[in-house]
Amino acid sequence: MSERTRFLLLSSLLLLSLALLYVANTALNHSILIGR
Amino acid sequence: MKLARINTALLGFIIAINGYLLLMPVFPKLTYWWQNHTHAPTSTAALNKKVRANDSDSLPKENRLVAPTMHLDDQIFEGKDLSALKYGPWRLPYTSTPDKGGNTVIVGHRYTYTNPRGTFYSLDRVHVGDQIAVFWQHKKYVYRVHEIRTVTPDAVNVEAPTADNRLTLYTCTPLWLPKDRLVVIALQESSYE
Repeated sequence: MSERTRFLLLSSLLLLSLALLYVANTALNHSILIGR
Repeated sequence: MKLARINTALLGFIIAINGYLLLMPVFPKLTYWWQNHTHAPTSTAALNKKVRANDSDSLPKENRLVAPTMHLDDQIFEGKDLSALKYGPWRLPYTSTPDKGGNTVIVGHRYTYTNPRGTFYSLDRVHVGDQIAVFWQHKKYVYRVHEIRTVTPDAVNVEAPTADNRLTLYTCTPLWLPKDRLVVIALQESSYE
C-alpha cells in the first residue's frame, strides 16, 4: 500500500472516529426529562 | 517520507480518540473504587460523616446535594431549562424545594463526554435505607431512601406533588443505551438549622 493510499484511509478513519465521538456525546446529552 | 510521518500521527490520533471513546465511560468506576480505598474526602465514609454531623458550622453557603453511596457532594443548580444540567444536579423548577415540603425533584446526567462527566453516574449504587442530605438555604434536610425503580420516560407521576416530604432523584439508565429512567425516592427524616 502506498503512503498516499494509507493517508487517505487514515484520514477517513480519523473523520469517522470524530463523527462517532460526536454522535455518542449527542446521544448521551439528550433530554433526560420525564414526559418531555 | 513526510507523508509517512503524517500517517503515523494520524494513526496516533485515531487510537487516542477511540481509546477516549471507549475508556472514559469506565473511568468513574475506577475513580469510585480509588476514592473508597484511599478514604478521600468524597468517599462514602467521609460523606456519611457530613450527612450525620450536627454542627451548624458545616452548613455550606450554597445549596448542595450530598449522597454518600454515590460519592456525590455537589452544588444544586437552579435554572429554567435543560441548559442548567451541564453544570451539575438540577432542581426541576416546577417541583418543590426542601423548605416548602412535598416532592423535590433533582435530575442529573448519567454520563456525558463533555462536562459534567457523570453527575448521577453512580445512582445505581444507592440502596434502600441509604441516607441523602440536601443543604438548602442554610438548613440541612436528611432523607432516607425508600424506593428505587426504573420507569419509562413517560412516567410523569414521578414528578407529581406529594403529601409527604420527599426527595426524588433520577437519571438515565442503562449507561450505554439510556432509554429508561432510574428513579430514587427518599423520604425526609429530619432537618437541622
